[in-house]
Amino acid sequence: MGKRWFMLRLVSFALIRRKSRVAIAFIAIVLGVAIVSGLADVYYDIGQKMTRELRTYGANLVLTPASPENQPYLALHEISGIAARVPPRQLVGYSPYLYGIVETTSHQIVLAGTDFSQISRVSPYWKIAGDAPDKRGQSALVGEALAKKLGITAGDRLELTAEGGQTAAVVVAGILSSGGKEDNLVFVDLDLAARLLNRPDTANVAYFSIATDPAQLESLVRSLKTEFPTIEASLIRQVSQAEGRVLVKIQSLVLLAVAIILLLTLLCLVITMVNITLERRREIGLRKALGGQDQDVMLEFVIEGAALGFAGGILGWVLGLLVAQGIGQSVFHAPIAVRLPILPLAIVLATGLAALAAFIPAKIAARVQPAIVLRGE
Amino acid sequence: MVKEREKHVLLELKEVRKYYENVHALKEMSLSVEQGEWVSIMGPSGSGKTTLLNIIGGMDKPTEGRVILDGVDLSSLTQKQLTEVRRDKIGLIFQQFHLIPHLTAVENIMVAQYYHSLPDKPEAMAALARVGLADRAHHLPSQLSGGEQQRVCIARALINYPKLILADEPTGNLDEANEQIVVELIQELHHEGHTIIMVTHDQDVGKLADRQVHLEHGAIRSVLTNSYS
Repeated sequence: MGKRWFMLRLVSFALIRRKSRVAIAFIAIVLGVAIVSGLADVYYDIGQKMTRELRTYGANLVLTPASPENQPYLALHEISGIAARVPPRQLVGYSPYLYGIVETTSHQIVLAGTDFSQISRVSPYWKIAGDAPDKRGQSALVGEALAKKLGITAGDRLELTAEGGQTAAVVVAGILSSGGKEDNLVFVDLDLAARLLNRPDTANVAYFSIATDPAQLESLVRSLKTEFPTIEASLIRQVSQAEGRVLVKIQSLVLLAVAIILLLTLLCLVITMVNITLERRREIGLRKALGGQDQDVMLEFVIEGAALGFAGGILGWVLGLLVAQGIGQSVFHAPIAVRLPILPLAIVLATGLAALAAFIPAKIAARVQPAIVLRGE
Repeated sequence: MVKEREKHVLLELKEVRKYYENVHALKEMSLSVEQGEWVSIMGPSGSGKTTLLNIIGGMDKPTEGRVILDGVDLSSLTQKQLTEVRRDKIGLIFQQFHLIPHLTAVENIMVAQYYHSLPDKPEAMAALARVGLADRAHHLPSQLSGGEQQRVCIARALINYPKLILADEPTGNLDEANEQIVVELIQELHHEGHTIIMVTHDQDVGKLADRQVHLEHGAIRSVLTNSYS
């Protein structure tokens, strides 16, 4: 039997037949790698996940005509074209708005036509008392302040007359509260507003909600300015900057948590490996007494540690995926992307550390005279 | 042949002293052991028996003096060279057996082969058969009795054909029946021409050797030679 083969058998016997002792170190490695690799998965995915979460702030990009004095309207097909430029994964929603003055039976009001189906995506912070408006029906949302002023409640019927004499009758589906200028407007379907205001296929402004980081958003704005010179694309700075700050803070927090857990895991792993190796001081002494040189004896212990680390690294990574998915589902209600490069990192880290954690005490034990160890001193 | 070998001095201790800080463990000890000789080292606890055995076995170094084993002066060797001497020239039998607990009887013997040259299972099995344990080859130490463990330890000590067998209280942890088996094995080794140095408290076992070296306070108090040897 070859020496190398026998050494590998010795290593495997030490791991397999000392299950109860090895299990402690193995569990320490698996749990450590699972937590660290799981959090690493979360860390790398948190940018995208948080950006999408932060879209509850509302739109972060606004399109307006570049020269309102010459051309005060945006063409709907251009807005659609810009929407098509945004990767579908990043485009949360977009909503064109067409404004105009109309008269009710008693007052002049500002009418806004929009795509009701996009409200929950572009303006998720809007609060609607009553029913959501029906896109195909003749329904409207009335801003809270305006409704109060005019004494309008959900279910009321409004007769709207535009400057050109076009009329439309709408039923108030709900009262809208946004805390902003929307509270003074009446919202109807974009097609209805276009017909009433005689502005087909146009809008005054379009709001986009895009789930990406501020830098990418800035880059998009720059390219839009080149590609669509008649349109002014601008970031809603307050929103995008706040998002950027929140994102950086959350990423830093996760990184800090990963670093602390990594440190604690390493400490736990090293202490466990040191303990289980020191328990075998007498065996190390015996091997030396039988003629084993320090480096031969240490090599066996290092290979044992490395084998344990290797297996623990793989299993820990698999468990880490479950940890990441658990965090993803419970916090973001979405799966976390699997990042394969974390696997070799987890294996190298676990193997290297476990080998090092076995080497240090084996070296200390190998320095001791075998006679002293065998006497049990 | 055996008679001729016995005339050759295998081990020579020349004015060996050992101090542990202020403790004088061995005081100017000189001793010669011929090849094929069985010497028992006896004496009360603290008399220096184990220290002497460790120095002979290259597991400890004398503070002063020379230890010459098979023509090699151990006192001038490095730790690495001492390990090589243990590996090539010495077989160790321990009172506590010192078997590796997660290896079977045969694997424990193969560990000694592994450090010496190449693991050879048939040879290791033959060594076990020689001590009457062929049927226990695949048992772990925890599944063996004390006597059986000591016999595995003896088989391991013999596996690399050592020049010198050092036995530290080989019967110290055994009941009477197992003590008898182990003593008979040692007698067999002696009759085959092995050189044995054995530390023992047991007067009856000690008397079986060719010579009894009695130690007291780290020095040789007396040396008795058996008339029948």
